[in-house]
This record gives sequence, structure tokens and C-alpha cells, in this order.
Amino acid sequence: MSQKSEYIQTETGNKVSRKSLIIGSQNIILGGKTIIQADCCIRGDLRRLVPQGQNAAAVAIAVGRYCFLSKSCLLRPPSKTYRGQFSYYPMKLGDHVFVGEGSVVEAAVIGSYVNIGKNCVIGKFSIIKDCVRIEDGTVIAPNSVIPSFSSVEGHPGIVVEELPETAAEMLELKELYKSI
Amino acid sequence: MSSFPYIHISCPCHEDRPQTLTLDSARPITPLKSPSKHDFNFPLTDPHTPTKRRTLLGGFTPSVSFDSGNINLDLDEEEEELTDEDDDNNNFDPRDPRSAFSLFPIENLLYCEDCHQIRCPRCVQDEIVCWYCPSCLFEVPSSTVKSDGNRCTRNCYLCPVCTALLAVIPVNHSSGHSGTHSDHPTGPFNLFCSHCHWTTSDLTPPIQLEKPTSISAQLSKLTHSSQDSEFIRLKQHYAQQLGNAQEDFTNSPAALTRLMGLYTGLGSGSGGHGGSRKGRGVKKLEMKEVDRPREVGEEQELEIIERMAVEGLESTTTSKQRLAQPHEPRFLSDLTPTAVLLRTKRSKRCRACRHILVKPESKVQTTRFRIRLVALNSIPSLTIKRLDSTINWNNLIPHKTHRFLLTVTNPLFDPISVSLLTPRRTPGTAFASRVTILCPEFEVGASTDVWDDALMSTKPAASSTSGVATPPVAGSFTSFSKDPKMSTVYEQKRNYTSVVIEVVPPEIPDTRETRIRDERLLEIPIYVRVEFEAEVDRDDEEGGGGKPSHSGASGGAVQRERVEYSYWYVIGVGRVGDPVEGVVASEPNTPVRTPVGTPVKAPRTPAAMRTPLRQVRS
Repeated sequence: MSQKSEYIQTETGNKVSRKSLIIGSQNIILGGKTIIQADCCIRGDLRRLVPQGQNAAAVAIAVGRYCFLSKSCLLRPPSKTYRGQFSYYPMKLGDHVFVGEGSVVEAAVIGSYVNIGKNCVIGKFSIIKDCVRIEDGTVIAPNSVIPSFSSVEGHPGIVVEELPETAAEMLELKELYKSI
Repeated sequence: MSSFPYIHISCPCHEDRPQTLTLDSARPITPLKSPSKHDFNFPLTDPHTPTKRRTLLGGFTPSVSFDSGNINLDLDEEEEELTDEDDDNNNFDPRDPRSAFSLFPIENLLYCEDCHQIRCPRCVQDEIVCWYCPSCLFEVPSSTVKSDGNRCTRNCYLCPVCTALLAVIPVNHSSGHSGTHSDHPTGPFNLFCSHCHWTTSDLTPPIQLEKPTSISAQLSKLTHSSQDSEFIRLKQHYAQQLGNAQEDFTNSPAALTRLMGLYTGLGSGSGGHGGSRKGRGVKKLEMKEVDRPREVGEEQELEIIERMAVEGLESTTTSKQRLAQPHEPRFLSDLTPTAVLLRTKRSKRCRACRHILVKPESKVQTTRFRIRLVALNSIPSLTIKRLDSTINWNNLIPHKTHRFLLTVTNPLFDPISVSLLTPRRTPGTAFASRVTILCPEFEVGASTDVWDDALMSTKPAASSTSGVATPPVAGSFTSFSKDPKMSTVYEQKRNYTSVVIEVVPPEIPDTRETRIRDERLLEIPIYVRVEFEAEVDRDDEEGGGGKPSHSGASGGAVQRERVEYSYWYVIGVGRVGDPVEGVVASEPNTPVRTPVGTPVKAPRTPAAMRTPLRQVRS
């Protein structure tokens, strides 16, 4: 019973732990049926530098449906200095993205059906395509691209295996959402 | 291997010959012949029983009677002994060295709808649909792959030290923070690894690029080493040789004779005909090898040793780094950026019937498939769960009865009846665990829409399985009894059914020998036989049969056919731990009950679950 009250459920079915740390929630979009566990940190405040005068509704982090952010993981928009200007850039997560415990994600784009294991580091501006599994403890170098149907492991992460055609079914998180 | 528990399926391709259930007919139709005792006894005498037995099983309908109760307890001892022997001979042994090549998780298996057989990665044929760079995700035409090799010719380079992707940055990078000239970064540029901070400026001599684009062209100019020229020389030599040979074979009318001569040994001389022609042929046919060994100059080696003494071992490359480069550099400063290897999208064909099983869309960035026949959609999948959450997969307690929940999920649109058969003692090891499936025969509902499930819950469950014998547990359709009973399913839902499996691992000494043989690994082979009635479209059949006149008469007529197939599944349950005090061995036929579990009467193994021979005929 105490498990139930741990989460705040939104209209679209997101379940956000009361113990999670969500900063700048006006810049965060959750697609629905996403679970955010305790001690998760989502840095929506680190948004793109908007030039004076422009009033763009900047989205810092967009998360798709059926995502699962495990305990004490961190989503932080990537940042760089471009033409002398330091700025954060938006981060986008697709559907059915699982982020394991203690992982730090600074990717630019993560596709759908992506499983990130425990204690991973997803480097700045990395792009992860659909149907990818990232094993526990992997460090993905900044700016890297992980193509679809890959299993990535190591330090820095390299593709060690090709996932079978059933990868989307294997990495689907609908059942996981129901179990919470 | 993988973490526990895991479930693998044995692909029948490791057998010497394919199963007969797919040989004769397009669909494994089971003849209406009831098995006699004689049939069953036959395989016992055969030395190749595992295959034979399975093929036999595919050939007949045991016509199991469910309503009369599937447990036949009044068996005489003699028969029981017979089954023991039978068990040993016919069971799939997951420890057999051959088995390792045929076991795959269901996710990795495909299903050929024409052969009605699962297809593992070993029995499919790959065909390349397209080549692409996994970094820039641009497709590379196959003509370019042939001419320029299997590496990205755009700007994708990997760090030779750590294999991360390299970025192009201006050399005077630090000035980028201040100053207005950073708007348009000017050269020179170098390649920078953002993972290990290696740059091309670390090289001796440093590589610096003038432009941030077309890196391949710039690099090939700068890193044109002696190895490259050696390769070009070799390539030219062999291309010339090949050219000569081709010209020779295609243009000369005597080509075939000479080719034959080459194989029979006549080409080398001593032939009685056409002396001049013979001589010419011999010369041209022998490929001249560039038989120059790799030169190792003493001076060079001494130089390397000297350099190692000065720079230290830290400056040398690891074997991985060295072998990744064609010139096999000894020092880190001799490494050059490696271009990204291309990756392919492939379609897959059944090796037996050449039908396409998987065909991805040719666009690089899509993950969709035009054709995708996977086993997950055709054969039932098994999952195993702990019934008691205190069970540690990696430390199973000897002599203790571990209860697991085995769930069979049906992906088909027809309800199936499942028989699970397992040897009472795990085969292939001196330390056999005792395995008991409490309910080896049951029904699994069709994989219908979720909405049907809601509607069905109001109706009696048996109505959904019309035409198939009612399971013996129809009354307790969703029995969640905490105490698993004999011949009772534990849980039954829309398209899955769970039964309890009891495992009693033995005490396994921790010796060197058992460690080498990995005796503590507990793998249970389970023979899963599935029977169902499938709708067969007549028109569909005629597509291959060729009876066009008939199609009008039976247009749209739906026939129902009895289909049966069976596979060996292997469940990696876990690892047996050290014995625990207080849990002791008991008599072989009475499993030890832990105090937590409520006692179950008649702990005797029901005969029906040991072997298919025990099934009662209707």
C-alpha cells in the first residue's frame, strides 16, 4: 500500500515518485504512462539560451510514452560552447526507454525501445537510435551514434552484438508499467 | 552464460536429419492412428532413439484423454523401470557438446511457415540489403563498397586508442571561448577524441588538417605509409595475374583442357599432345606468388628497442590497438585514426526452402520489416518465476524442494493443448536433480484481443476451447491456490497458463572436476508438445497444389486441421550452492518438503509426467 502512495499519477498516466527531484518542470514534457522512480533527477531548468526579445517556449527534455526512469538516474540536457556562446540543447527520449539505476544521460536523442542498464554514462550529444540495448556500466562517448539493433558494452561503448528482429518486443515496457 | 533464469530452445537443425513431421506434408497433419504399446516400445531398442523417438512422436496422435484424469497411478513397477531406462535414452541432454550449438533464446529464432519449422541463426541464409555507416547512417552503394572497401569514406573516424568517435576541432581550440574570430573557426584542424582526449596532434609527426570536411581525402594524403604502397603493389600484381588467367581461360579454346590437366596433373608435362601449347599453358596457369617474406631488419628492430627504452612501455600499443591497424604500429605515436567499419542490413532466407523469413526495409534509418516471421509469433514461449521469493537463483540449496512457476504463453489465435515432459532426473550429469512438473498437461487459451478477455470472463471458460478436450481443471479455471496441487494448473489467464515445477537439486561437492564440468549449473530439459486445431484456408493450399478448378467450389471454405509440433526447451534454473545444515537427503521418491510449504499428499511422481508413454488412451 505504501508503494501506491509513493507515486503521484498525472492525467496522462505518468507516475512520478514523490521522492524524485524534478527541476524546471515547465520545460519537461512527459508523453504519458512514464514512471519516474525515487531519487531521479531531471534537469528541465537547463534549457536552451533564448536570445533577448525572443519568447520561444523552450522544451529542455521531452520524454515519450512508457518510459521508465529507475532510481537515482539523472537526465541532463547536453551543453556545449558554440560560436562563443555556452548553451544547453534539448534532449529527446522516445517511447519505451528504460534508464537503469544510477545512470547519467546527456544524450541529444534517444530513440524508442532503448534499454540503458545500471550505472551507465550516456555522453553529451550522443544519438541512440531505436531498438538498442546498453549493458550495465557502459560509458558512451560524447557525440557518438549508436545504430539500431545494437547491443553496446564497454568503456567506451562499442557495439558487441546485433539484436534480433524481435528487439522491439523484447524491450517493450508496457508490462513494466502495469506492474507498478 | 546469461544470468538466471534463462530459457533456450533447441533448434532441430542440429540433428542429423530433419524431423519427419515437416517432411511429407506442408502441414504436420497427424494421422488418426492411435498409438499402441508396440509403437512405444520400439524406440527402446534403437540406438539412435533421441531422433527416432521425436520423429515418432510427430507422427501420431496420442489422443490423450483429459477428462478421465491424466494421471495413471496404477502402473506396475516393471513398466516404471522401463520408463527410467527410456528416459535416459531419449532425453535431450543440454550438457552434450552438440547441444550448445543448437540452443537459442526464442527471441533469436525465426519460423519458416512453409517448412513449419523454427529456424535458428545457423539455418538461415543472410543476404545483404544495404551497406551503411553506423556513425553517419548514410547508405553506401555496394559498388562503392567494392571499389573503396568496407569503411566509411565520409568523415567518420575512430580513435585508435579507445575506439570512440573522433570529432573535428580547430587546433587553437582554447581561443574559441573568447574572441570574435571563433565565429568561423579557421584551421588547422585536428581530430579529437572526446573520450580519452587523444588528438592527431599527439602523433609524430602530428597530423593537422586544412579543412574540417572531406577528412578521408586529406588523411589518405597525409598517412600514405609504406604499408599502403606495399598493398597497392600486391594488389596490382594479383590483379594482373588474375587478368592474365581470365584472359587465358576465356579466350583460348584449349582453356578447358588445360584446366582439366591442372586437376589431373597432366598439365605439368608428360602429356603426349601439342608440345608447344602445353608449355604455354603451364607457364600461364601457375599463379606467381609474391613470395617475399615480411622483412625484419635488425637495424629497425634495434631502433625500436632503443625507442622503447627511452619512451617506456607506456608509449607502446596494446595488441588490440596494434592489430586494428594495417601497419601494426608498435608505438602509440604511430597510430592513425581508423575509418568506421560499415554495417549491413540483411534479409534472411530459410536454408531448406529458400523462402524469405526476414526482409527489412531498405532505408537505413527505419527499423520496420517488410517480412518478419519470428518464432515468438508462432511457438509458445516459456517463462519461469520463483514461487518463493527467498530462492536465490545463484545458490540453490541441495535437497530442498524449490518451487518455480512455469508459464506457457500462446502466441497463436487458436487455443492449444500443451504437454510438458521432462526426465525425472536431469540427464548428462552424475549429480542429477529431481524435477517434477505438477501439472504436465493443460490448455492454453488463444491469443485473442484484450477485449475478448474482458468479454470471456463472463462466460464459462470451457466455451472458448470448443473442439478441444476440456482440461481436467475446468472448474478451477483461475485457481490461485497458494498450495500447488498435483495435476492442477496454478494460474490460467487469457493466453497463458502457469504450472508449478518442483526441483530438488542434489548435493554437489566442490571439487576441481565438478568445477571443470560445471556440475553445479542446473539446466532442465523440457519437451514441450503442442497440439491445436488450426484453420486451413483451402485457397491457400491450392496456391502450391495447383487445382484451380476446385477453388470455385470450395471458395472460402475453412477447414480445421489438427496440428502438432514439439520442441526441446532448456531452462537454466540456476546454480546449486553448498549444502545447508538441516536440509538432508531423503528417499529418492519422496521430495523433501520445507516447513514453509504445506504438505502435499501423495508426493509420488505421477506417471503421466515422466514420459508420453504414460498417457491414457481415450
